[in-house]
Amino acid sequence: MTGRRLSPRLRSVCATIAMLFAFPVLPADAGISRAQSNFILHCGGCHGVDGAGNAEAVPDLRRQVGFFLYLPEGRAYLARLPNVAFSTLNDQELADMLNFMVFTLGDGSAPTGAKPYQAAEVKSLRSASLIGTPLRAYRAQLINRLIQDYGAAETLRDYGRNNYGTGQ
Amino acid sequence: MMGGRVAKALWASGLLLTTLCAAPIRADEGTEPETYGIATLPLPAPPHRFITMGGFGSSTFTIFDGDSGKMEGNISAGYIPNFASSPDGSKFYVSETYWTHGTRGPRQDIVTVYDAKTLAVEKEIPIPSRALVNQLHNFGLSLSGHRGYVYAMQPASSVVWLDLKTETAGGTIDLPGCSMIYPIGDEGFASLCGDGSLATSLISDKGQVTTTKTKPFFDANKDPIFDDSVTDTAAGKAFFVSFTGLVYEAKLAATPTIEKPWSIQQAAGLPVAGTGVKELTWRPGGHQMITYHKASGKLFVIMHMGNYWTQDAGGSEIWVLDTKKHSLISRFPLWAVPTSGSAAKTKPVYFRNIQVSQDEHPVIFLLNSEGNDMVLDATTGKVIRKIEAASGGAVYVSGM
Repeated sequence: MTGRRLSPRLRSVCATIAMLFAFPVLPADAGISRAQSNFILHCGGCHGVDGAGNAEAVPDLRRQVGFFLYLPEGRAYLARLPNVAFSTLNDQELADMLNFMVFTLGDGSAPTGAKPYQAAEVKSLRSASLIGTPLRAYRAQLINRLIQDYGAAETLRDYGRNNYGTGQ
Repeated sequence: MMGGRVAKALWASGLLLTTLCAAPIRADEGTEPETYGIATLPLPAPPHRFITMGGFGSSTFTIFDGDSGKMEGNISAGYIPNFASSPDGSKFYVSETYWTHGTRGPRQDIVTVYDAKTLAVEKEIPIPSRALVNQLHNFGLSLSGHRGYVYAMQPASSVVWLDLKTETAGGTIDLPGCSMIYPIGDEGFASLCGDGSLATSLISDKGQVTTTKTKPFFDANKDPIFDDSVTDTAAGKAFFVSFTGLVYEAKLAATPTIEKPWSIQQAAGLPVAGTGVKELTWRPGGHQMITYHKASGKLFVIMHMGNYWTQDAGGSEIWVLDTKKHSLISRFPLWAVPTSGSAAKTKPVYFRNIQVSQDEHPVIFLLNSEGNDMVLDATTGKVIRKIEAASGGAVYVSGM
């Protein structure tokens, strides 16, 4: 019944079509989660695709962002930052992205047994964004406590350390 | 005699020199001989003066007289600079950034004060930081010119304010989640925030800062507001225009009020534009797409045909709107403008930057996609002149 077999040309067309449809699932196969791709798309521009940017201008997230979870205010701070709170991600996507950031990029910096962010928690935190708060002072007092009381890394102080404009 | 020969030789060479020196004049009889000297700019500034910034990466401000079409002067500036003119026109301010070794080395952010007649540098005011963007509302002066404001993003969203009487930096105001500067009299400035609210920062005479926020009035994710929205600082007014073409009139004050918006498209007899990515209609767009003539209350907006999320596209028409009646006064179609160079007739020309002069007989300054400046009659839309290959980045006028 050779007449019913597809010609080589038609087979190649079919294969091409199949490949086109298969493409959207490839990133998942390649091991990039939705949370990671959301981090890259929504945060990576400044924070770096692996969480490392220019640490004095944009906080380095690697192996230190998890320290914030030692304090309830610190845990809240990460979701209340205006650039996080106003994200176009929905509550569940944002919770997943925060968990990727804290536990994967943070790589051991979060306290043992720290609970992952939940959508309902993120919903409530992002509705109370830190807009209008003197942010640098607020962050400074948070990281002072984290460093003094919880042994967080001194490198948390790198952000904003140098005053770029005055050339120091 | 030796003396005679020397004299003859001298006489001959002198004749030759005279001939050489005289040659250019003889060759170009009838043209104006060029003379050099140090020119000064007129003060008060001519009513149709405009200042353009070179294209991205080129850091020069060029001063033109729109009436004569002549270039009056140039200011060389640092990386992605911003420009402001004092209200009386006597000083120019340039907010700029340098690295000591060009592209590397310690970074220096400064606001440079120029004498607007001689373009001599009067002072460099060191500032802690500035955002490297050439948006109009990245840098602004208060109504009297006694204060200056520089938007910064380092280490976080903030505004550096300057005391321009003492020519010193006054302090840095944290503005998490908010950006831009829309001056409110001499008291402070308003900013737009990511949650759709308007933040009002007031600075007391002693330098004490208070920041308050309105309730959200727009949705930054669905229909954001153009940062190049316009203000009339003396009247305490602002017109915030959204991507779809809604105009929110606001009173900028310690307690701001924001009116219910009206639609540019509806003012022109079209349906209100929506947020459909396949919804083709006239939409505002460009880089500096809105300008306001204070005395007449006319808003000039660069418009193009496009779907939603085409707000960066340049336009082919200018729509003139009455902000009191919320109605369309005229449309200036500009497709008919002849183009020059190799792209002529094959490539459409579009417009991204517009400013209107503030005098009684206003003209429009327009930058087109060919890097040319155009001067239009703001009442009829007639093209008065075109200045070739002048600029591309931004256009400024005095008195805004």
